[in-house]
Amino acid sequence: MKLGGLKPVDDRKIIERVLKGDTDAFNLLVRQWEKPIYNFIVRMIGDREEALDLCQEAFMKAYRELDSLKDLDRFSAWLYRIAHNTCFSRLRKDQGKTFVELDPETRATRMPIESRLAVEKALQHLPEDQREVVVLKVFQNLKFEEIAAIQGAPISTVKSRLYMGFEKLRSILG
Amino acid sequence: MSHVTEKLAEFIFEELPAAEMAEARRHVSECANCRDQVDRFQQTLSLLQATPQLEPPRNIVFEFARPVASRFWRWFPAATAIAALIVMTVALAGRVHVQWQDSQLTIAFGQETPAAPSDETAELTAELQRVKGHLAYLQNRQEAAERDTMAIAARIPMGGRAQRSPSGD
Repeated sequence: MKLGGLKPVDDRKIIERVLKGDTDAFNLLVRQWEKPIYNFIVRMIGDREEALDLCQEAFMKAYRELDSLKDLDRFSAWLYRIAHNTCFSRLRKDQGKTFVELDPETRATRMPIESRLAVEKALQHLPEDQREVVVLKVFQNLKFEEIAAIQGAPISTVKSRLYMGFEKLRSILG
Repeated sequence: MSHVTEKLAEFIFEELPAAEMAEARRHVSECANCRDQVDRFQQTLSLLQATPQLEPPRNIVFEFARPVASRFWRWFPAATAIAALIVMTVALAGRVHVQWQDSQLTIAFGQETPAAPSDETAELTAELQRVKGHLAYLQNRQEAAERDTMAIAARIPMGGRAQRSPSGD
């Protein structure tokens, strides 16, 4: 399984370097993946600083367990799975507590702040499983098959979570 | 074709096989109910997609500890330095001379070897001997002259000196 728009060949080469002892090469993987992983986590958690900490934690776990990755071409799916575990571990700790904060760096976008905040808030009102499917599908452009692997759920479950998520979002956003 | 309800998500995200996609598009264009479902789904999707991707507040950079060198390589620099010190000590052992004389410490490097006297040195030594001999002769002559002077002075009568006054009286 390869994630859309990714470069599994490049990832593979970098991973091989890291496994041969070139530990600094791992930073190339981080540079390549930090933005998508960060965006996934921040939309799951709702707090920018906390998301960065969790993102770092996810990469650290990935580094420690890199030699356990059997199929190097599946690095991205494996990394998302680690990020998923990191997020859910954190969410279980703060069950029911959500954060929605303003992102100063994106104020200059065409979407009004109010609308953007409304979307972010609406996302935080979804159950975690549904929110994750929406985030991975809409913002990360993953395929249903890939999301199913990350969630460890059948594809049919993933799709129904997406429908339910969208229904709820529509009812909130109008 | 049946309604797209069951395959709405795959249709929206274009994950249906090409033939099914084409058929679904045709159906949606003809079925008001399916078109309505697609429109509502698209509306929510557009709202979500309008939110921008976020930039991490700062980049993540890991600084990894360098792998620990083997025991041999860890001790290599120190061992090399010690070995060099030993070699230098042995090499200099016979060539360093330490002397304490007249409250002064002298450390001299290099072996002292008695140099064979050259011809020039021999000539200078002979000349020095000659000069010393001449000096001794001159000293003897001086002493003899002093003795003669004292003897003559002793023979001069003391009264004669009183008769001759400076005024000439």
